[in-house]
Parts: sequence; structure tokens; C-alpha cells
Amino acid sequence: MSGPVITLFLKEIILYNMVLNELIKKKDYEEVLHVLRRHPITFFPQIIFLMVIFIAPFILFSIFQILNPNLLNNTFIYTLLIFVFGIFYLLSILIFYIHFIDYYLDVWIVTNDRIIDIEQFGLFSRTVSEVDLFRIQDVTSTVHGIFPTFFNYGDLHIKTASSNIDVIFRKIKDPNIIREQLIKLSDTDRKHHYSDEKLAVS
Amino acid sequence: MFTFPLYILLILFILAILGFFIMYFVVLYHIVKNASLTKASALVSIILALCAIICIFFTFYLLRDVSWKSKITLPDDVWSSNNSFFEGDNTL
Repeated sequence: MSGPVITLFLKEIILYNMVLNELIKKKDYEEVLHVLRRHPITFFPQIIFLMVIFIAPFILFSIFQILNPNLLNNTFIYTLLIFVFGIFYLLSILIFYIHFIDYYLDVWIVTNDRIIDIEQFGLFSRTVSEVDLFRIQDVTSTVHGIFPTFFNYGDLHIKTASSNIDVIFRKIKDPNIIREQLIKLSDTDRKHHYSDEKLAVS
Repeated sequence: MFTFPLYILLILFILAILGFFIMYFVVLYHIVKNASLTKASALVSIILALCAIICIFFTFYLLRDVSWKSKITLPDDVWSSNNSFFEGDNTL
């Protein structure tokens, strides 16, 4: 029983890694260290909203019945109401799914060479930017509010030396730990980069 | 006055279902294409697909007795409180 499950699990990992490597055009020497997403708790309001939306037609149906008990005797109105509620539910599920990819497809990938910032806006809009680790000048983590403090999530602002692109990791888990690791990675990459430059000059 | 068969509503609903599943697979394609097909996203996709299937099933279950070939006249039939097009019902 566990055999096929393990095989399926391994296939999923292999497929995921293949697509990820293709997405970021991974270099031979590069190693993916972190794939960061927003903290799952930040998606919780959408789940609550979907639950409220799911109850709404039942409340409306009850109100209709109280206001006009004979209303459901009319087959046309009954059929129309059932179809409208059916379409309403399908639309709610679809909107929830689009919100989910808006949340889930915002990804920050940290490798030992660069940071790739992928941000999804709605269904058909996406921006991808990347910053070399040796260009990082300043990393600031901010945790504001009761929920972020309680669940340990926050923003990470990364300022770069040369370009005007500032990368912001939004609402990620453990921002302080990631900040420390980024500073270490940046220092290591800077040493490698400048030693390579010196060798090239000499 | 405007008369049309009740199955027009059925056709419209089937078109809505088709539209839903096309959009569903577009979103799923986005997830796979962006290297985000993880356990969490696969679970959400499966749960939402199941919800949609249950929703469609209950819609048709609630309308199982409707006689789809019967004709509706607007606006007369909308205001009549006892017009019934359920199969086996001879009130009309």
C-alpha cells in the first residue's frame, strides 16, 4: 500500500523540481535554498468569506419563504432560483480559486546566487524580477500587529546597491531568520564575486 | 408575451458549468506552469473540484422532477402562484 504512495510522492517532487528549475532557468552551480510564500494564516480571511458566502443562499431562501410561502409553488421561479443559486456557488468557488492562486503564486525563491521575486496579480498578470545576492545592501524585517507577532510573520525589505529595484518579501514566515540567512548568503556571494573579479583583472 | 421551453434554462446552466470547468483548468494550468503544484495546492484543487461536483449534483437532484419540455409564458407564469411543471402533476 505504501509503495505506490511513496512512488507518487517521489514523482511529485521530481516533477515539481523539474518545473521549478525550468521556471528560474537554474544554473549548473546554483542551489535553491528557500521557496518562500506568504504565511498560510494570511489566507484565512478568504476561507471565512467563502464559508459566509456558502451560507448566504440558504438565508435568502428562508427569507423568500417567510415573505411569500407560495413562491416555491411556481415551478418557473423555483427552477430559476435553484439555477441561480447553483451558478452563484460555482462562481464563488471559481473566485475563491483565483484568490488562491493570487496568494499561492506569489513566490520568492532564494538560491545561493540570486533572489527571484515572482508576483501574481489576478489570473493573467505576473511580474518576475531577480536580484544578485552580491548586490544586496540592506535587509530589513518588519513584524507589525497582533496576528503577525503571534504567528511570527512579516515583511522583508531588500535594498540593492546598483539598481532601483527593491524586493519585498510580503508576510513571510520567520522574517528575522530569513533576514539573517540572506545577510550571510550575500556576504559569501560578495566574497566569491569580488575574488573572481580580481582574478579576471590580474 | 414571451414563450419559451423550460429546457432553455437547463442549456444556460450547462453552459455555465462548461465555463466553470474551462476556468478551473486555466487556473490549474497556472499552478502547474508556475511550479506550484505542491501537496497544499493539489489538496485545495481537489477540494474545490469536489465542492463544484457536489453543487452540480444537488442542483440536478433538486430539479429531478421538473418537466423540461413544458413551456413558460412571461410575464404571466411568473406571477401565477400555482403553476406547476413537475412531471406527473396535472394542475395545468
